[in-house]
Parts: sequence; C-alpha cells; structure tokens
Amino acid sequence: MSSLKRISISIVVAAFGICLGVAIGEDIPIRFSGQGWSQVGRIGHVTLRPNDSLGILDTSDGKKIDVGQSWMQSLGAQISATADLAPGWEGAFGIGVVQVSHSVGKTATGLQSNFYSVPIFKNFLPEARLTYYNGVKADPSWSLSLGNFSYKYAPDVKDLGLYLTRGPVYPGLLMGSFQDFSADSTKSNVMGAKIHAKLGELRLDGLLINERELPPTFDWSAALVAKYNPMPGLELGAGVNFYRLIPYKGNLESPAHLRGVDTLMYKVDPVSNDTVYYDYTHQGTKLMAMTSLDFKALLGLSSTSLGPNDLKLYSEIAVLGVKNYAPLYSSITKRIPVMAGVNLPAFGWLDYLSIEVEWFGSPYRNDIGKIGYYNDVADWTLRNLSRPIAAPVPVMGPYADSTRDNWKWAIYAEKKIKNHIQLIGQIADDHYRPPHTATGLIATSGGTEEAFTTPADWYFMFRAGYTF
Amino acid sequence: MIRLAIYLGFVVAATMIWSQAKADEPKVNFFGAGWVQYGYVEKSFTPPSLSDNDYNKNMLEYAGGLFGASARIDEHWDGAFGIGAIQVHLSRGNRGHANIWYPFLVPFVNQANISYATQLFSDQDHLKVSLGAMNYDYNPEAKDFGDYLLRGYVYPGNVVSGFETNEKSGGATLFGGKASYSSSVFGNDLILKSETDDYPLYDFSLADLISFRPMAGLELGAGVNLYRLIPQNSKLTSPPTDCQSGDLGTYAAQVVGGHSCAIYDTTAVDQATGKATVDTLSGSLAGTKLMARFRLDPKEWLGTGSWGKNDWVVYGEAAVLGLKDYPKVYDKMVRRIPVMVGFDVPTHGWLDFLSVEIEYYANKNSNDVITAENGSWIPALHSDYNYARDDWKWALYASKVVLGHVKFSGQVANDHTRFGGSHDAATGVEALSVPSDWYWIGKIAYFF
Repeated sequence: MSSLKRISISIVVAAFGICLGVAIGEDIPIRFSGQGWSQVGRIGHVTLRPNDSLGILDTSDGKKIDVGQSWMQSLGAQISATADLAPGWEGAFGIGVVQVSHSVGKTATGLQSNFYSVPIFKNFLPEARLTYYNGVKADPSWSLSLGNFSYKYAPDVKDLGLYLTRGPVYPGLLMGSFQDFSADSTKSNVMGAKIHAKLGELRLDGLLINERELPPTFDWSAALVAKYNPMPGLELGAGVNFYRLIPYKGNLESPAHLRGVDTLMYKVDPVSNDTVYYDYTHQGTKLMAMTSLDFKALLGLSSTSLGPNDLKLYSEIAVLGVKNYAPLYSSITKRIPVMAGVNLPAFGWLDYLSIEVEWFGSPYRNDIGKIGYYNDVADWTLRNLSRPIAAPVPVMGPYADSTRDNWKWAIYAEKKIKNHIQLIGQIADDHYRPPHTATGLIATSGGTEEAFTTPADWYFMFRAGYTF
Repeated sequence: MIRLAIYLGFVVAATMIWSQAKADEPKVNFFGAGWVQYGYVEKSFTPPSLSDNDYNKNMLEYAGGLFGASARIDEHWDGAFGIGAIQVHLSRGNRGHANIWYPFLVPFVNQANISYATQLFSDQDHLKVSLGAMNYDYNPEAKDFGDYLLRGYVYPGNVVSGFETNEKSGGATLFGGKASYSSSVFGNDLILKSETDDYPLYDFSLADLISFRPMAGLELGAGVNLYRLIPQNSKLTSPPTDCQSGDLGTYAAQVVGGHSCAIYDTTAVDQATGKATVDTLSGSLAGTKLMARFRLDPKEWLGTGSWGKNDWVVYGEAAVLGLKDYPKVYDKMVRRIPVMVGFDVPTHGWLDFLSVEIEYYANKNSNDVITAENGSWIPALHSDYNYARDDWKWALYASKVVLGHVKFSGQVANDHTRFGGSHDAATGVEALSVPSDWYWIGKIAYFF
C-alpha cells in the first residue's frame, strides 16, 4: 500500500477521534459483558490415504498423523467494557484468552505426537472499536465503526457459510468449525471500518477489512453487503468483496515473479524451454447471495408454541473469484460454494436445533499450507516457502479424485438457561483444522489442513459456558 | 463414550432443571489481582549429569495479574470466569542458553465454570454441582506441602509443591465436574478430573473426598483417587510391554532399566545352565491414591483470647501413592507414603499466617518427572543423585493482608519446586535435592 493511502486512512481515523474529543462528556456510563466456557469433544473419524497427507502430514519428514479418535479439550473467557461516550458515540474494548486444543492423534510410527501437544493459552481481542450512530443505537439510520469488531452478515449461520468474509480467493478455500470466531458474534473478526446505512427496508454495510489472518497480512479488502426485507419473514442479501484490493506490499500479491517461487506458479515450455510464469494472484473478487426465510412469519405461526428461531430456512451461495486463471482456476463452477440450513422446531426446549449442509465442487483439498498458517502473522519468512503462494496444495494419489469432500454438514444445538448459562453442542463434518503444536512432528504443516475429507469423517463438540 | 455420557448426563440434568427456571438479571461481582514476586535460590545441588540446568544462586522473578467476574444468576445458578497473564521464565541456570534467557508473558484462564446449588433435606444440607474449570483445594490449611491426592503422578510417585501454587492462589486446578455435599459436620466431594497438567493429557480421574468435624476445632478428612481411571488412549496411559520407540515421548527412555514400557524381573537362575528366568512386567501411569488429613485448632477448647484466628492450628496429611507394588522400582508401599505436618505459629495477629511445615517421604526413586511426562510409568534414572538425601523437606511461610486488599507473603523452603529444563536439556527434577539446599521468595499482591 502506498504511503499516501496509509496517510489518508490515518487522517480519517484522527478526524474521527477529534470529533469524539469534541463530543465527549464527563460522566461515561460503562457496561460490562463477558463469558467463560469449557468445552470437550472428540474426532470420531478421519480418513487416511496411503499416498496423501490426510489426516495430517508433516511434509518435511513424511510422518503422517492420524487425528482420528483424538479428544479435544479447552476453555476460554473474555470480558468487554462498552461505554456511552457521548450522544451517538459508543466505545468498546475487551480482552480474552482461549486455550488452544490440539488434536494430535498418532503417527504411522506411534503415539509420540501426544507428548508434543502443548495446550497453550492464546489471547485475543473480542472488540476494540469506536462507533458513531445516528438515531436509535439498536437500529440507526446510519453508523460508522472503526477498529476491531464483529461482523456477521448472515446471523443464522452456525458453522458453514459466511464465504464473503472468510477465507482466501485463490485458492478458494472454505473456513468454519465449532464456534469459529467469525460465526460467533461476540468476537471480533474484522479490523478496519464499517459504515452502515438503512434506507427503508434496505440495509447497506460497507466494509474496509484489514487482512490479519492469512499471509500476506495487512492487505486491505473492500466489501459491500446489501440486505433487503421484501416482506415479513423474508430477507434477501447480496455482497461483493474486493479481496486484498489495497495490498500492503504489491509484489507479494502475484508471487510468480518472486525469487524462490513454488513450482505450481510456472511451467517450462517443452519446445522453447522458456519458463512461463502464471499470473495467479492472492487478490480477487468474491460475490455472495443469501436468503433467510422465517416460515413462522410467512404462515402466521408466531403465536404458537414454536420458539423464536424455529422453522427458519437460510442459505448462501458465493463465487470465490470471478476471474479464471488457467490452468489451476479455469472453471468458475468449481469455485462456487453453496450452503443451506434450517432451524428445526424445538418448541422452546432448545434455542437452536439446526442442520446445515454445504456443497463445494473444488477439486483441491482444503489446505492453506501454501499460503501460511491460519492466524499467524507473516510466517512465510519462517517456513520453507519463501513467499505465500496463491496456489492450492498439490493433489496426490487417491485424493486426486477429491469429490468425496464436496459435501459438508453440521448439526448444531444451543440452549441458554436463564439467559446466562449457555450449553452448545455440535456434530459435524466441516472445515475444522486441528491446530499445530508449538514444537514437534506437526509443527511445520499441522493446522493448515482440514481434517475431514470423506463422508465418513466427523467429530463432536460440547461447550458449557456462562455469559452476562 | 464414557466421557460423552458424562457430559450428556449433565445436559439432561440441566434440561430438567431449566424447565423450572425463570430469567433474572444476575448480580455480577468483579474480582482481580495483581502481584509481583521476587526470590533467590541460595543453594541448589547440581550433579554432573544435569550441569546444564544449574539453579544455584539464581534469582526468581515473576509478575502477574488477573481479572474476572462471577455472577449469582439466581438462588441456584452461579457462573464465574477469569483471565490473566503471568510473567514466567525459561529454564533457569542453563549455561548453554544463558545468552537467550528471557522472561515472557503467558495468558491463562483462571476459571470458567457454572454451578447449580440447592438444599437437600434441611437448611443445613447443601448440594452443589459444578462443571468446567475451577479451583479446588481440599486442604487449604497446607501452605506448601500436601494435597497429595490430586497433585502429581502415582507411578512414579513424585510429589508436587512450591510457593503459592495454583491450589493456594485460586487458579484452575480442576477441569471436569464436582458434586459437593455439605452439612454442619460432614462434607463429601465427588470429583471427575480431566488431566490438564501432566502427560498424557485428558485422562479422567475419579476421586471422592470426605471431611468430618466430630467436635469443635477438629476436622478429619480422607479421600481416594482412582487416578487416570478413564484414559483418553489406554495405550498411552498403560503402554504395552512391546511399545515402540515412537509411542512414547523423546525422553521416556531415561528410566531405570532402560526399558520405558516394561520391567524385566529375573525371578530365577538355573544353576546348571546359568540361564535366567525373566518376567516381563507391564505397568501403568494409572493407580490408586489414598489420603487422610486432620486439622486441629486448640483455641476452640482453650479460648481464643488475644490470639490470631489461625494461631496454634496444627494440621497434617498423609497419602499412599499407589496401592499396587511393582518389583524392583515400586516394591515397598512404605516408600510411597508421604507425610506432612504443619503448625501455625502464634503471632497475636501481627501476621495472618506464620506456618512451619515439615514433610517426610522415603521415596528412593528419582524425583525427576521427565519420564512420566514422556509416557513411562517407570522412574527416571539419575545415578549421580543420592535420593536418600531428599527425604525430609521443610518450609517456613508467612503472610499478612493489610487494608483488606494488599497481601504480603513470603517463604523460605527446601521443597519440591521444579524449574524445568531447556529444550536441549530437558528435565523435571526438583531444584532442591539435598538438606543444605534452600531458597527464599517474597510476594506483594493487590486484590479486590
């Protein structure tokens, strides 16, 4: 990103702060909120392939790790303070700590990986934002937020979906697992800015999103989401995300031209013997469409014993990259994930009993290994790869026919007791990536690969927590 | 499946309870603490085999803070959580790594739990069921030693202690579930504890502890811990005798006899041929612990007078670390029985506690937990240690809270503190292994 652009953004932030400084009063009411939770679960089954890496493989030394039958256990807590700084102004910040649970399983040579599992605590920011709103705070005519905040454009989603703001474009890899931060509206998933406007039944969200999870980090993406309620109980939505529109460092976006590039990024012409570089890029455009249909409102069942979330049907479809790049990304139909979910009737016994199903015809395995570790910052400098590569991990052996991972599913249940005790359970075959350990066998590639690759794979998780 | 059944059981129970529940605004209480502590290892014997981890004359420095919230949701339901960060050190005294030694901050979750409490038969009978991560200390009177039932391994029976450990400072020592019954004279805690400190992780232990107050000033307690009763992987907890090198951790082979998964016991030798008959004995990290304790406050009989609340209190604890004998390494139960006694010296209120504690533990195996942390139930081998010289341990502890929110505490001791090793020179040995070893440490804390 050029210095001019960065300076411009800084000036906007400073102006925002000056406006607040003028508006702020002396007595500031502060509200606290927080939650703590413990969770356990187990990977029921993962499918291993003799000639491919899944379960999990450390490609540097060829030791395969079978995460099947692994128990997972962790806990976490967070606390936030929200202040009404002045009429129309709200500030909030929070801190949190979560324990990272490793699913280490066993290797082809034994169980030694269990002794490399270090259940590390990791800190995070649930939010750190400043918001100006015009009108009623809960439903303002327009608002502007800066900082770290949660943005979940499809609030019905429990696990699958949210394609517009989760995951890379090239390669188009999907994210999502039990209580993923992006699907949990109490935790920030965006650092940047959001402007919200309401025009009758039309609501618009414009976002400037700083990339902080996947290398190359610190790029800026610009997104627009529009949602419309044509009738009670029906919501339609659409969005576009110009992913990494403003790069932090431009030459990292198209790594084919960089020294030490991956072999997937070029070919050698057999006739001329010239090297031809592909112009794959981390940048790209995502499109999204979504619906949410509440049958209770449509059928006039709201006064029955059904719960407020029962009988809701929701869905989402996206295009992960509108531009084709041969040979890896030559078919747009293989870059279109689609999901649908339904909240089954639970009659108040549960707040949610949801089933979600997803289909994604990508021929590539869901591994961000060529890009870098999820949630690590600029780690390509620490790995064998010299640059984050805009290419999928190569498909090998039987996994070349990767259609067996096209379908994903999740069954989710949630109940809040007395508004403050939260119980959540999930059984799923989703995009869970077992975290890598701090040292040992899976340090170099674990945490990048999705564990589940066939319909036989699944896991369950259960969480008990307290929230206020 | 047993684990799943346990958790689902809780969910079913909660489902039955919430049908009678109504939502109220909870009363939220915030709590927090910040502290710094500083100390010095005055003397620490280091054998040649561990010269890379020499703790002699090392400074000890730590700082930390935590913040949390607890809520009384109604007369039955409670919730609590806390988060914090603590500054810790890499391995101390590693000569080969002194140039890269540095302190660093580690976040942690202090607690995250929910509880349901109710009365049973009368106002005096209470039942409380808790789930999540929580603090649990069945022997709060002990300052340094004791707590044998829920701290440390069984095989090898290495005990754990130190200055204001998690049990004593409110940290999460229990991940799992607890059902507590209490009346005016009797208490019972049934505990399901997931292993979160010692490898292999996530085994479940089932423990039951009772306390009994037969008269004013006297409390008796006892407990049993079926340690690692439900393993997450039985091959890790009870490795087969033919285990392969890749099954256990890197340092598992540093055991007595050199075989990390079996003891080879020569039971007979044919006099004619000279051929030996050797039994191959399997074992397990799992085992059964027993515990008994007492607390005696003679002030209840003699009158409190001007004495401080804790003055003159005598307390003690003994345990059996493993009921089962294994030839050659765990062949005598008396060597698996640690005993401690403590006495709160009278200070007339000048201090909250001035406690002297002494422990005797005739274990003749290595106090190094490195083999257990790597999956072996057989004790570590350090031939240049004399483990008859670390049977007696002692600690002198003092603390005082002033202004209701500031606590001063300190300790001088020869206890079971372990500082750990480095990546290249891993160890789980105690820093203080001969009678002349000792350290001191002081702490200032603010809490609310």
